[in-house]
Amino acid sequence: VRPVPHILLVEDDPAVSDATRMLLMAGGCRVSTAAGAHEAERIAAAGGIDAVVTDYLLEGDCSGVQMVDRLRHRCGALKAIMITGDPSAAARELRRDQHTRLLSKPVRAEEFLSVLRELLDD
Amino acid sequence: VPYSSPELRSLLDAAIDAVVVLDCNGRIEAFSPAAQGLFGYASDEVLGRHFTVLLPGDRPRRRDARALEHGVRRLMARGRELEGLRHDGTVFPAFASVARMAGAPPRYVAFIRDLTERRHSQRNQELLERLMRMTRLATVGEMAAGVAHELNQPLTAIANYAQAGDRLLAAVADAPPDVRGVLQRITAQAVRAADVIQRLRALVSPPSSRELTDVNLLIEEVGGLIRSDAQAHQVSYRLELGRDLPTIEADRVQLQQVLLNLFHNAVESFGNGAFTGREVVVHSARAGSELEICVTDNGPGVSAAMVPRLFHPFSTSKTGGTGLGLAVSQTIVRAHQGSLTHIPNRPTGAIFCIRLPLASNAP
Repeated sequence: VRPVPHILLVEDDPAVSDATRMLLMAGGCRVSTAAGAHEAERIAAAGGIDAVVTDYLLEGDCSGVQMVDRLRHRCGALKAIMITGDPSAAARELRRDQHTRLLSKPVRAEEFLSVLRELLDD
Repeated sequence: VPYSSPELRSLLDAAIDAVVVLDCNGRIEAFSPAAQGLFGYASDEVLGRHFTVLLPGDRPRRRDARALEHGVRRLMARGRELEGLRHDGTVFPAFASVARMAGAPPRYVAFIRDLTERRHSQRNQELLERLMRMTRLATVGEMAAGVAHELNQPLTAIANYAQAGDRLLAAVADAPPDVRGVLQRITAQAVRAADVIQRLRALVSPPSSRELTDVNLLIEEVGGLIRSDAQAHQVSYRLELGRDLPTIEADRVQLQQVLLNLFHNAVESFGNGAFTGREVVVHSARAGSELEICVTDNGPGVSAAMVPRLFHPFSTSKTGGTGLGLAVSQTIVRAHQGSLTHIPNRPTGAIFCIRLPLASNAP
């Protein structure tokens, strides 16, 4: 039996956060949500997070990439999915690394959940 | 002495245009005070000399009366634009007209108007129009990008809710079969709308041309616009341009647009408030591997409430502002691999700092 993965969802738009949380839960995940980088760091510091799903653009001067870098600096290796409305801009900043995936917004549920599974099984 | 009658003297003295009287051979017979001011000669330095001393170019000119008559005919009636030569060797644009005076042998009187100021304001007007065109394009682009982001969020929520609903229903044994189909169609339509937005975003991203650019030249080129903006708001300003700055690779017009936007924000920030010594400083300097252009004012500064949303599209503290100026500016600077930041000024005011990487071959 596969354990229920614990996902940290970072999204500042309440409706997008709620809808994505429901989609992840329908896909069999446990979800903690954060509206910004600081809250995300606090939750991640408590431990037990298997992957972070974040909007590429966060409120304030911190991008999803920077936030994930900070989380990894504090909490070690962390799998991450970045979701962005402007994939061309995001792809420029995103370094190639095997623990990070970039998806465009809105996500297709099939693709989203299968990418998440692959990342977690890796 | 010719032209010594008080009537004629006062006519020459009063004329705003430069007035030069020539004899039939083109020698200068009278040289009005305005002419002295315009050409930089005292009257007795030019009286008796051939009028070509007032024209640039060293190609030989025919100096006989017939050539003069021919030349005069071209300038008579409507006059035309030509270049004048000052005593100090500088050349200036001018408008000249000539009339033949009654009597024999003929004499000629030339009226010469300095066009330097007009040419400057023409150039400024052209520059302003080019910048306005760029600003309109960039503003439309920023607006589309802003709308794209704002609409993409609810579309994402719709798609994700519908997809979550579909998955939840999939786990229910006796779920009505049509409902999953409806949810899937909702998802497909939300995704379709998001695709339209994506294409729109690609369509409006502004084109940009890069060339090696001297930042100080870039600033000085818009000096006239800066001056008139400052004057219109009764604000004094200073340019503090660093010396021997390395070049950057930049789209000059786009960066001028950013600079004028920051400057305009600064002069407007004073409003009607009583700030003593209202001043804006434009400063350029090298900062390590970057070049810095800062616009500093001593006005009221940015309110604490505004700071977090300062560069967001559609956020503004001005009545009638679009809230796109700083967003456009930041987009442009970032496209140059640079940064645009706000720093509060002490004791009051704001500093907006553009930092740009040096050209790769800069020393």
